[in-house]
Amino acid sequence: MKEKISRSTIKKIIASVLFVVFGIGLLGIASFCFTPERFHTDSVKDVKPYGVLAEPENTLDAVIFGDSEAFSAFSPVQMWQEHGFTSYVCSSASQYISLTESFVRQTLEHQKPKVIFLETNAIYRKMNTDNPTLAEAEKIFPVFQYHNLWKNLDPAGINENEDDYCWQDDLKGFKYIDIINPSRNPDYMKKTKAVKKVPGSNLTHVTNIYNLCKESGVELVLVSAPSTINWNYAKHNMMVKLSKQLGVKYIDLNVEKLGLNWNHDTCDRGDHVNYFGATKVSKFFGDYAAKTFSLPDRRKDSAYSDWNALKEKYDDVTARSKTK
Amino acid sequence: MGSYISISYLLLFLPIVAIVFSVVPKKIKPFVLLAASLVFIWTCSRFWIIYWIFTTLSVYLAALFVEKSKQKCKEALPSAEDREQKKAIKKQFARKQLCVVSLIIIANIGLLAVLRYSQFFVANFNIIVQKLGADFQVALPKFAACIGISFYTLQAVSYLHDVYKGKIAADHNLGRLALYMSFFPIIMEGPICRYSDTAERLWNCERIQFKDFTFGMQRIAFGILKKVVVADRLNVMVTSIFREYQYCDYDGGIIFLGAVLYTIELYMEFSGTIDVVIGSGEIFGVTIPENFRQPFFSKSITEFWQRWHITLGTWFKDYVFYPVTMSKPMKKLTKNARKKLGRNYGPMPASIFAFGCVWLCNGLWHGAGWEFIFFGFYHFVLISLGSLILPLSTALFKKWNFDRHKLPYRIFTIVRTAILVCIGEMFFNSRGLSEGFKMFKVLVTKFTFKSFFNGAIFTMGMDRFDYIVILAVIALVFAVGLMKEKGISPREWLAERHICVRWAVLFTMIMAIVIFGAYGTGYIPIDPIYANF
Repeated sequence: MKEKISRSTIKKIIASVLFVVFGIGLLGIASFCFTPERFHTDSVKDVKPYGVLAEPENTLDAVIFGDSEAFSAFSPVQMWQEHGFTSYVCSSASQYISLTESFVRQTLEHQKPKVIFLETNAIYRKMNTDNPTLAEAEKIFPVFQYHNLWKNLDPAGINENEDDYCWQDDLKGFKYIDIINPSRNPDYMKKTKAVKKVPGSNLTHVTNIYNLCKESGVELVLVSAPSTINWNYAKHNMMVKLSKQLGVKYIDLNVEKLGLNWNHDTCDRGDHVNYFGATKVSKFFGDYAAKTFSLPDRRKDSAYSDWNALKEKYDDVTARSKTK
Repeated sequence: MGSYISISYLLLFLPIVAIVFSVVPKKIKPFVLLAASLVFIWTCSRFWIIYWIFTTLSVYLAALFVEKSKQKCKEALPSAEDREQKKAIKKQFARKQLCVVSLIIIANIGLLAVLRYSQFFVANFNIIVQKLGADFQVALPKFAACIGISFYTLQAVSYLHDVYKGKIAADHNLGRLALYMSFFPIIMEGPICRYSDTAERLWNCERIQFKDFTFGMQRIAFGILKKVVVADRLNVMVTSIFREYQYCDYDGGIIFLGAVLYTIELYMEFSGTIDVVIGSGEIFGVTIPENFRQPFFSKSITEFWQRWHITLGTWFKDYVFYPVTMSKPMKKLTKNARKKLGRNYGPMPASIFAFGCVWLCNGLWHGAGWEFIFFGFYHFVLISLGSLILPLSTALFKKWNFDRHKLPYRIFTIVRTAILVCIGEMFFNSRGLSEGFKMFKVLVTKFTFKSFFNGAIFTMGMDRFDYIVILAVIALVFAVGLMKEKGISPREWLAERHICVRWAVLFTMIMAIVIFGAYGTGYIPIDPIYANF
């Protein structure tokens, strides 16, 4: 009887170990299949931030990282048309600063921009223990990071050269939204001496991003996109303090004169700017970036002819706004 | 830990507790569960665990008082000289017990009301004051509450009530009562357990069995599949429709789709979390009561509420409906009504009044807002109408010789119930009652299927691939539900299959979660909808 029980126990242990090993094997296979280079398609919302990996090597002059505040406010194609420098908005909705760090690391493996802008709203997003754990798991099994690309999985692309990233985003990470939903608190930047602390270990991730930029010889700049819901003066004060501590520049677009009309230029009561607001933000920000960092004008450079071709596509996408 | 479906719970907290639980001797096991439960509450609520301590201690002491008082009453009775004196002694002790029990129940329900509803009441008070032209406003109070306060308060009330009614004995073991009040898988989203079903089983837990472990893990995986693949994926489109409907000029078809998708999201989120809860309990050999029994197979709203959030429904039935119906004024009302309305309709006024109380409480329990009160009222009206119409419809069907058990009619009643439920959930998820009515107006006056055919439904946060994935999981959930309806346990059925089939099913489920799960970049996981109750 005793022997029987122990045999059944051994059987269960072997089955459990095999189950785990088989599971790990499947995750490995899935991770092999789910990497950005396996995909080519018109980019969709979920994969927009990965588009930065598809840009040809060392072709970006500036990269903007952050959450939805970034992709709704900065339009790289507009800035190209007005100033001629190349940029990309690598951002996703509710992005955690730990993920931003991961994106900065991956981007710097392929690009050497003159400047990296870190939109500051993500710095305030409170992380739980899941975010760093998932970030670690993503390093071991990339399928956890890239699984959302399943819609674009192309079996034919599996054997392609791994370095050949083959899809790009026509809006360069910008999200076109033409909904008009007025803000209820346009006077949100009331001066105060209060300082809003950054939660948890988020500052460690900002310091890591700073170090990554420093190691690559790229200038890091903090930038706050306009938002009547997410931003206030106490956060502004904290970012001023943080920029001084890190020795980096900081520009708060909430206190600059952009000419925003919060009755018209926001899509969700001031949470984000819409296309109309983004046009004003990008005009101001493009001027600032081009002048402050002497970003080159490449409009006549034949190597960048693809960027000139984007105008037509951009106009197609934004045509709907003309009826509003 | 903000949710049971999180890495910190599933890959850290639960495995650590399971490992510690399995290595300690039997006597220590309940203390491991109690310690883990207290750590869980502390992690979620920090200092506000004090509310939980107050509730647990207050019902513990009150139950002991009731028991002691009953004992004293028994001892005093033999000294009584006649029946009248016996009656007087009984009444005297009963009054004391009722006083203490009422005081403790009012204190706990009052605490819940202050913490959860004071903002709602103050905001409404301010509106009334403003309408009356007065020039002052009361500042909105802000209170932090302990996690699961609405769940453990109801458990505490049921325990004390049952002790008072003599259904169960007062627990002298504070540890056992504390574990019943705090067991970590149920504290956040229920189900609402009864002391008589759960406490003893929890305290006398055995070592982890391989079968319990595998069955528990399967149930957890199924719950994650429902929540991460369907509920979180639907959230993008549901949020888009409910937040932006007035700015995007959506037609009634889109609003209806939004209501249907929100109902699916709510079911997949809540039942998925309950799967994780029940699976967690199974790992420790504890059977946690089911909270859902295929609600979308219901043929009426009454049946729906017997299958949806079952433990809340039975709690209201036992501790609100029956006490109200059996109260003296209601008995009197029934007696008078019987004389005038006859035997069939006589008990109805009292029942309808008691139902009104139940649905007011049900609405308020779901949230502090007029939309939630309306949600309760909506179901109250539907159920009351159903009760009123039933004798009439039965007579008519009999007269017409119409067989209500035929499949087409059954399908019709199931679809009709589902549509009524979806409309109720539309109000539930609206941003205020007036927004709910605006959406309802669009739904009725601008209803068209145009958006379904011109591709508009693929531009609101979900494309055709999303729909395919969601439909596939819904089909799986439907198949599992159908098996359960036929009395087949899907997990027992799977356990009897060859190991290759078992593993194929399990790995398909796991890989579906990994690949098709709506997590990571571009997705915001929905907060557990019932966790803040």
